Amino acid sequence: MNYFLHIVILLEIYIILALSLNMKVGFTGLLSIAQAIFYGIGAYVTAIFMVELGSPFLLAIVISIVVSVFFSLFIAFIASRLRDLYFALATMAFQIILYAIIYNWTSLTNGPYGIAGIPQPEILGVAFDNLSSFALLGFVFMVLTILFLLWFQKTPFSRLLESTRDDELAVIAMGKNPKYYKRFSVCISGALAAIAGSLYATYVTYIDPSSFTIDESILIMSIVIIGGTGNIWGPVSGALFYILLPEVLKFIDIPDSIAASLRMIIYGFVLILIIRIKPDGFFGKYVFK
Amino acid sequence: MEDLLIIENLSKAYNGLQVLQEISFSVEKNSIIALTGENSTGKTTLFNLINGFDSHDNGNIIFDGKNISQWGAIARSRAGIGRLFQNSRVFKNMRVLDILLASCFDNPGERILNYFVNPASIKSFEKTSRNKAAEVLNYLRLLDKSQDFGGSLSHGEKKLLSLGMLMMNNYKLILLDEPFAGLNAKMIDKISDTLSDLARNGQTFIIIEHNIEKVSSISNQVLILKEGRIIENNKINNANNLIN
Repeated sequence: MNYFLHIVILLEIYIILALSLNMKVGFTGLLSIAQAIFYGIGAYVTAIFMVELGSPFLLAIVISIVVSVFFSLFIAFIASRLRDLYFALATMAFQIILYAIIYNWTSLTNGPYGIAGIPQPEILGVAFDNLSSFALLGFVFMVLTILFLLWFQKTPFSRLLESTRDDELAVIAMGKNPKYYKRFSVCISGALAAIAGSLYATYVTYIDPSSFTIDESILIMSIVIIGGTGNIWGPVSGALFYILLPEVLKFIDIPDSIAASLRMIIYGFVLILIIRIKPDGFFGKYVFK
Repeated sequence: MEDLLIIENLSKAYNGLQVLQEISFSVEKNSIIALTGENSTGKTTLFNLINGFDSHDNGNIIFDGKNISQWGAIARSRAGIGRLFQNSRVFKNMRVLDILLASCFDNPGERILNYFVNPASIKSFEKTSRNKAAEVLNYLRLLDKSQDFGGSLSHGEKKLLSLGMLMMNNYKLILLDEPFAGLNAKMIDKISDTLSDLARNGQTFIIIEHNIEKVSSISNQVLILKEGRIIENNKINNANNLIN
């Protein structure tokens, strides 16, 4: 049961994370390779405020959103000046720089040793200190995120993000400023990633920089691309696939000495197969090129 | 008749190559001007200068009584200069109806604050826009395509939809860059009829077109560009002779 609940919690966190990136990639066409760092900002800010300052969980999550949005403004600045692969490269540089700061600013983040003893969430006197209650908390955050995005994608504002994604010049010709829409998209994306980071930090109760590397950013990107971009259910299905497939592979009877490597090979092979057969992902509305 | 657009001594060079030289002409309200000439004579560049996609080196652009020479493309569009591109720029991953709705000016839903302080204005605008979009689609005979993706439309349908995007707003001047290029005869007639209808309702156009026969049937005046200069500025009945 505990194993099942652990998988459920990871799934909830990764669904929020994938949806956060989809805001940039799917809705606005901004290929970002820095999502793990916003996830990390959420986790670190929550950890620092809860461990060092004794902040309650909800306050810590709000502050982590604010800090993540603040850093998102840097990405927004880049987005208003660079496009396509140049933007992607700039976000990669942003990821590397912020990762280096987290890794080396030991007085604040404790560097590679990480931050331990992060309290589990408590809201209005209710402690979410076991797997089942945490799974419920994660479920609430995930559902709220999905509901927000389902509402958002029906708004006139969402149309303008999509039009910016499809043809920026045409948006300008329509008398609208695509930079404004990009800024908004990047900030919302950062806020959602921070929520996922806060949940992660308070779930595992220990964080270190290794969870927020560029590899993690690429992984989040692959979840979104496999699931499909531009709608809600693509990233959700991508997260399901990413979390569940390795677990399913564990049930295949493979000698222990090669099990881990072989599972990764099978996993990689399945990924290639999916991208080959269905390049727009499981539920993709928009094929990212 | 009052002038809507006045171009005064407009010049543009790229890396020392003079593309437009001392261009001057005016466009009266409710008129259709055909802009023609051989390839690479600066027609599309002139459009880029008028709608602000590019900046000119010298001269002035007066639109609706205001000197807009220093204005950007967004401000010029909002002032009432619309543009139909040679290669239609419809949003390929959006549905036709959504494309039209996204084109509307002054949508309160474009401002995040309105979702909190004045959601009723968004709802009301949305209702009005949907009705207008349905009218436009019906007029363009694209109503049955309203839920299709922009990218799935034929070349001609994309041109019609691009016109529809312009019709969602009350542009004072529309720049049409080769609206008949690459279309079959049936679609040329359809677009031509649409333009004539709009012109009858007082819409002002400047049309870049090589098909002088087609454009002469709906234009009041022809400008001919050669090597970045206007070599003729005449009423339409002389146009065929001028080209030949």
